[in-house]
Amino acid sequence: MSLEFKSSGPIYLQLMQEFKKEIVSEIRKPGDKIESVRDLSRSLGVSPGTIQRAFLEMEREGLLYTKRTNGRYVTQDTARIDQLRRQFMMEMVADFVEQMRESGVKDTEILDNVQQYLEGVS
Amino acid sequence: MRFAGKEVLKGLSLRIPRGQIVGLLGPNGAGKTTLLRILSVLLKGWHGQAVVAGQEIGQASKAKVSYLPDKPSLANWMRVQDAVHFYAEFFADFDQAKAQTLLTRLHLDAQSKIGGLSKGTVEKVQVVLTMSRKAELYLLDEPISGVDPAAREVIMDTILSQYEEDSTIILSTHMVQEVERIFDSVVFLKEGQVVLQDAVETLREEHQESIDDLFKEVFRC
Repeated sequence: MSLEFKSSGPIYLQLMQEFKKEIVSEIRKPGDKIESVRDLSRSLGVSPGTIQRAFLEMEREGLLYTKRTNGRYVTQDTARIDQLRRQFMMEMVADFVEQMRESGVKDTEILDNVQQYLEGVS
Repeated sequence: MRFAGKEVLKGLSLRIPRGQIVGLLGPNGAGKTTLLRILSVLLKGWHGQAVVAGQEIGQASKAKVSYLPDKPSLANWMRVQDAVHFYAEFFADFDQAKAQTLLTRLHLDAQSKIGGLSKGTVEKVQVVLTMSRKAELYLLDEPISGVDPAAREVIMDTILSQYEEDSTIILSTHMVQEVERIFDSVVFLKEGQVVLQDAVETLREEHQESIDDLFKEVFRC
């Protein structure tokens, strides 16, 4: 895993976001084993404490789970992953709509334009 | 404390929790090296109190501290192998097998003479030696300044690969951007005083900027 960190904002949140993206896009599949804290710490050059925090947070959110003494895995709960995918989509849609509205585009125009774009008209 | 007639650390009070990687950040002359030398029991004749791992600093605390000086401390005539033996003899907690493994991993030739190596390579050797001790506190004084980016990466990787989470690392640097992600917390030292101490993630969240940007703000003249 390699990752370009943004200069601001907590690193563990950026790390979580990247993991979630990889789970949603199935780069990391249900049941896949996750790197150890130490390995990821080394490959990303990030404090092990920060990696640990991101992992624990994702466990709490039900996205990762730990097998006793045997490492950490992506959840096999596909309903939870679907939920994450929907959440991701809604966030992207919200960003997009907000940008359009800020540019003065009306909601009906947004819909029309998206439709046209998808149909390859524009 | 005064040093050569100049007061270097002024009423400095600082508490660093165990089990963290701490960045000691400040421009040249801020007192970073003086502070690390006090903690490694190399500096005498200062006034105040310092405790390392529950012990007043002195011979007993010295054994718990692995110190990487800011200037090369290995003699030029030594081969890398001699330096390893020197450390093995000097420090009871030195893991010679670990040092050999790390030297091999970093493609460092045990037969080379220290005097014939580049600055970055000498720094790598010093980092290997320092991190091959099983200490409670590692004091790393500017381990990445003046080395090229590739060597810097190897050095950071070596530090992270050897770090045990029940030990503490204090790493001083004025090059913040290159290393800020490895810190759990940072201490900003300015003209011998602590001007800021906090967790990295808290600072990045509260200020919505990198520690490097924050550093530049605090130390802008």
